[in-house]
Amino acid sequence: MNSDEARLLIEAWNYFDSHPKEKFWEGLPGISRDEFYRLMPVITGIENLVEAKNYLGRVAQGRISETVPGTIIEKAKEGEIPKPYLEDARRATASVRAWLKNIKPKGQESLAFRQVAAAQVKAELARIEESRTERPKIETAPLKTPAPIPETIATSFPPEESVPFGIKITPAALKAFGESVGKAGGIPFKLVSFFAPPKVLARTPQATAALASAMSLSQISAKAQDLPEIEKKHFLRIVENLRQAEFSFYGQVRLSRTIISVREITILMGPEFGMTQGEAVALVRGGAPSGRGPSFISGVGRQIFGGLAQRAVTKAATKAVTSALTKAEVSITTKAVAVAAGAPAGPVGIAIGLAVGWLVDKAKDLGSWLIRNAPKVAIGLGALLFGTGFALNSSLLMGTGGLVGFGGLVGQAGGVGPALSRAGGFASSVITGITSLAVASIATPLIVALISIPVLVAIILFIINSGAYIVPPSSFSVLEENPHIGIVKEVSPSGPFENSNLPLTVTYTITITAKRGTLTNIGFEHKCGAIAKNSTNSCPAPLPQSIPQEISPVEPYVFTYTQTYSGSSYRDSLVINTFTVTADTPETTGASASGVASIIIGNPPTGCYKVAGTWPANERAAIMAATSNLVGRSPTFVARLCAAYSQVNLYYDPSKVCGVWGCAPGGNVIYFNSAGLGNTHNATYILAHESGHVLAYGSPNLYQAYLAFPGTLGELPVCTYGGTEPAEGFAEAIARYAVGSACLANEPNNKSFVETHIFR
Amino acid sequence: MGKIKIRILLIFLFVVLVIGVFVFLRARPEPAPPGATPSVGASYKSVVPGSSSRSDVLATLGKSLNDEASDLLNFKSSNPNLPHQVAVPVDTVVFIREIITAKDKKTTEDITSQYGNAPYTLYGPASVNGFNLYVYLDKGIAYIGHVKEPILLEIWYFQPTTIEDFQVKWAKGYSTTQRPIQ
Repeated sequence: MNSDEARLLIEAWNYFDSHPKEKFWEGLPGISRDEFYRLMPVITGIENLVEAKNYLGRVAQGRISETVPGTIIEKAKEGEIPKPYLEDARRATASVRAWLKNIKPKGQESLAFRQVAAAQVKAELARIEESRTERPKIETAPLKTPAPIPETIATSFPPEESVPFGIKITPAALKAFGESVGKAGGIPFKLVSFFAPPKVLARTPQATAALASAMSLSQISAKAQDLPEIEKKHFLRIVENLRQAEFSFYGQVRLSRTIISVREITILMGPEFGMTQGEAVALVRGGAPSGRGPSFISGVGRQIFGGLAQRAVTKAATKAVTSALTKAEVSITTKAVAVAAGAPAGPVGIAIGLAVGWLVDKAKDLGSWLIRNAPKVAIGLGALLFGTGFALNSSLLMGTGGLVGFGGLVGQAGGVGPALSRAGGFASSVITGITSLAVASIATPLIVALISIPVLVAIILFIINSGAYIVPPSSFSVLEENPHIGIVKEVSPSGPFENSNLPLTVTYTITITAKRGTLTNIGFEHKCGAIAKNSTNSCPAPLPQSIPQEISPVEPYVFTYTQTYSGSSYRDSLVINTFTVTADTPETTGASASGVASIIIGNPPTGCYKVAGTWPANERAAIMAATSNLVGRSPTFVARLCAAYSQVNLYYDPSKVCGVWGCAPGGNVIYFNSAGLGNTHNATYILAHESGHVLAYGSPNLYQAYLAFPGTLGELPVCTYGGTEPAEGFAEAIARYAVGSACLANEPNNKSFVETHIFR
Repeated sequence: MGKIKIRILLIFLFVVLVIGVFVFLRARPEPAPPGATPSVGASYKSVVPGSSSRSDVLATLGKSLNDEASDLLNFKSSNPNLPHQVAVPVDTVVFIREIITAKDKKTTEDITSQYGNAPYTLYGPASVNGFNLYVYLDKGIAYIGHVKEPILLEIWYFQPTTIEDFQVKWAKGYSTTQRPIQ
């Protein structure tokens, strides 16, 4: 692999990373996104995609010039990996190089060669993957196995107790759900097809990422070793996909990791993540809100309804087909669920993914049985489809059910031929033909529906029974989400306020939630600062009169207080309240999480930032709070920025956003969309990130210094964002420092640089 | 002279004319194809892409940081993160990447004062921070420098070539249009 080839692969990698919905990249025709992500560990010999990309980046930069990575050679020598892996890497690399040589064909001949070469790459990949599932049986060199799962994990998280369901969805969310269901003639079919691993996992990495929400991959891998060969193959393939997705969809994975118990679905649907309702729906759909991605239901099912899935699979779905399954087969399903349940965070979507996927496999065997008993099955299915259609108000399902039921009744009436012969030879032959054709042609979708509808109905009933509300948008934030402690601080009314409103009385509500187990040894800290033009003054930040001994997962702790602000020190200020809770959990000690709420009074300082153009009210409030926050907390950074540009214009223009939340296309202009402006914390983060680009643009010597600061480039990406691009690393390090992200501790050189060169 | 003789004469003259034109055109030197470029261009410390050998490089720049038989030789630069790089795929240097830091006291003006303004600007990953790739194809030199300030990050040396070839060989991550991705 030479640097040119590596550069092209890195370019493709960056494209796939930054375009999670794109399955192909025009610069690398013939290979899909999924194939690409599976291929890279093979040719680099590095399973960890972050490390693999870093390695490839070094090759692209010319810092390494090896045909086969040295790491894999060393590992093979030391017996850490089977030696055939080395040969795999060589062969795959040779195939990839042959393909890349003709990536830009100059004629029909080379175009044909490229197509052949791409096919060879795919074939090689398939061969390698196939051989690796077989290899452990014959290899003498032991595979490195993950640490065994402590027995306590399984007992700490029994399936029935680990998933305290309590879905909370607002009427709006329920409406969105209902709309999805209303259009859902094909959803049952999609449901199963999308659930079926590993195909679904390969096709929809967002879903895969979501599946990773609550699992320890090493534990899943270890557990998989004990399974029969077929299940083990499934598991290992899933784990592989999960690892890829975890890398490519880091944000979603983090997000999903916070929604292990259904109680926290409110967080998913709420604005803590800087997501609008539409974006939340888009996320669980795994595609654009109006796009053709996986259905809302299938996405939700995979991502959220883990325990429900388990229940549905073991009680509903399994029951629905139980007459066709042997006891042994059912026990395998249960085993799959049990493995997922062994993960520390409880059985999330993987259970339904595995079990239903497995059932789909078995459905193939059911086909012949169903066709043999077609009339009886058709009657039952017809009734089921009709009833479900009625419940869902789906004319398509009702119509399909009626048709199928009718066909079944005809067939049941002593056999299709005899029954219809009484009605006349001509009619008999016609209807016999139609019925036979119908049974044959719809057999597969019916089987799919048979399996999936109970799951679907169970999900719907569960939601209805659980009640629903949604958390309205408010000014709290969770860019850095603690996996153990949920904390939300809200203020009402939320403003913004005029100076003439002083003295001003507002009510703060702080809600603390235990996410993964009871919180003990609890400590509270409360800070308040009023950032005004020339000063930052402290303000009252009361603590509860008594601190609770513990906070249970089923009962959040709520602290409410009312505060009056008066006096000139609050004129033209941003009042920021930060409530921090520290506690021990069953899994960790000293966990800490903060909730922030802020209000704007008058016109707080905005440095050289100018909120220009037209802004929606909420977004305007958020960006104003963010500017004041940044000015107040990072005055040196803002001063550097303002030294470079006397004015930095902030526009709300989603069409010009070139990143996820914002864009600094060059000079003193930044564009934003709503996604990052759901709360002050996220708004401060994205403002600081884009301001980092503006600062580099206006003070290029700082960027030059960053490139030469020892160790900075070796740490890229900073906090997983921006790949190996130093330009993004520079901006991200600034943003993370500005909002106090803990992850920056893992990038000490970047932290040291921004600390000494930007914030001091 | 009869009419027939006149006609024969005219035909003869016409044939002579055609042959003369043919010979003249064949004898003319072929014009240089558009875009033809000299075989060598700018040099880095007397190492010239297209003509210097591996031994020239090692003799001039000293011991490489990596294997001296490598296709890509790394040499210490003033940037602890990035080495100078010399591509020697066979035995002839084809590309040199010189890393610049503030310690080197080099600016974009050092290049523009010698070569003028770059005919081509390519946009890459650092363009969001104001750093573009400025290319002098016929001079065999390019640099990554800031759009307004004279800050210089890298100088590239290569055999003079076409823009298409340059993009394919040396600037894959760059485009002629700016498309910021953040």
